[in-house]
Amino acid sequence: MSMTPSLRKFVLTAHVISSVGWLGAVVAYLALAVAALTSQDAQMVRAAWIAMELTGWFVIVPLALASLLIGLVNALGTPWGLFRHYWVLFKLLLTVFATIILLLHMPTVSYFAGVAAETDSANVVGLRGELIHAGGGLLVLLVTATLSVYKPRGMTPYGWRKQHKEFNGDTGLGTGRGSTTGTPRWVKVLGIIALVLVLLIVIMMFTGGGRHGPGRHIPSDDVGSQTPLIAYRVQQP
Amino acid sequence: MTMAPGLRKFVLTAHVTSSVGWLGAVAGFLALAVAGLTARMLRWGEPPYFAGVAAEMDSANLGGLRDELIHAGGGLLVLLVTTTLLVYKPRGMTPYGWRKQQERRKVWHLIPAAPCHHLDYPKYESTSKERNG
Repeated sequence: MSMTPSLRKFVLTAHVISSVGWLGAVVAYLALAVAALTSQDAQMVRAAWIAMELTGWFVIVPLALASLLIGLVNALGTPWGLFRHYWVLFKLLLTVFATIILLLHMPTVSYFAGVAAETDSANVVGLRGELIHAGGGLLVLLVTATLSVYKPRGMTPYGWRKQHKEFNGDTGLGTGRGSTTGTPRWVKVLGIIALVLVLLIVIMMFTGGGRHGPGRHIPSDDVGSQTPLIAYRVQQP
Repeated sequence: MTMAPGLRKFVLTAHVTSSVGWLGAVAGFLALAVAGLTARMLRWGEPPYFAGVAAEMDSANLGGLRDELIHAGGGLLVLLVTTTLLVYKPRGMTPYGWRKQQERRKVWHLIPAAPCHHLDYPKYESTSKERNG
């Protein structure tokens, strides 16, 4: 499953462009949210929601899916593998997590963009949620970009076994990037940080009235008229 | 003027993030320009998708948007080229680079091993004279 050098470089270029391009698009998205929040101008807020929906569906979502897909091809097509090295595994988990949150969150953006486009009202409170989502996404993507450059040592138990099989003519331990059999400290530290953050997110979701997502923004007496709007906006791209 | 490996990786991360992130932001900008143009041309949706914004601006500048397409599209193309160069790193030294390398070699032959060869530094390129003996 290894690629020729020229194909490998092409895939790597596509991988860097899709994943770091995703980061850049999130920065642009964040700029729109911050600009709208600080301006407090209704026209500005409405324009920002519409621009954010477009950026989200037409740039951020495609780049996220491309990043995940091309990342898989890049990992499986090179000796790095997908589950062999901790840094690759972390990148996979972070990318999958960020993509899932993105896809779950976009309908909310579409809802507010729909309100901004169809009515005169503009939702300022919802912008704060955008700051959290886009800011969190940016953080995750900065971590994955940093992991890609640093490529910290550390092989998974699966990676060790695979390496032994491939070098079975060799004696004992292989000569890979991981030097000891134990889990590296950076893996433990990053794992604990990730676990704490996930726990915090879950707690925040449940303490926030237990209703998180597009549903909570729809007034209960107005559900009938608002639901088609969401469906329309989601299907539009 | 060489950096320590830790600093070098930090700078490389910042370099990739800023340059390829720029590309992603331009893609976002391009999407807005395209959406603005198509919304005005096709007048999709009922009421028109961007009519709310456009009506209050009195005249939405359509010609300006077309300029944006050219600028953002051109920018995207340039950034795609620079990113491709970043990964492929095609061979080829400038005359200045050659001279500098010759100067450095005089020092290098005193040192048995390159100090940071594991960091993917540019490889030494031999001249055709050297290759032919």
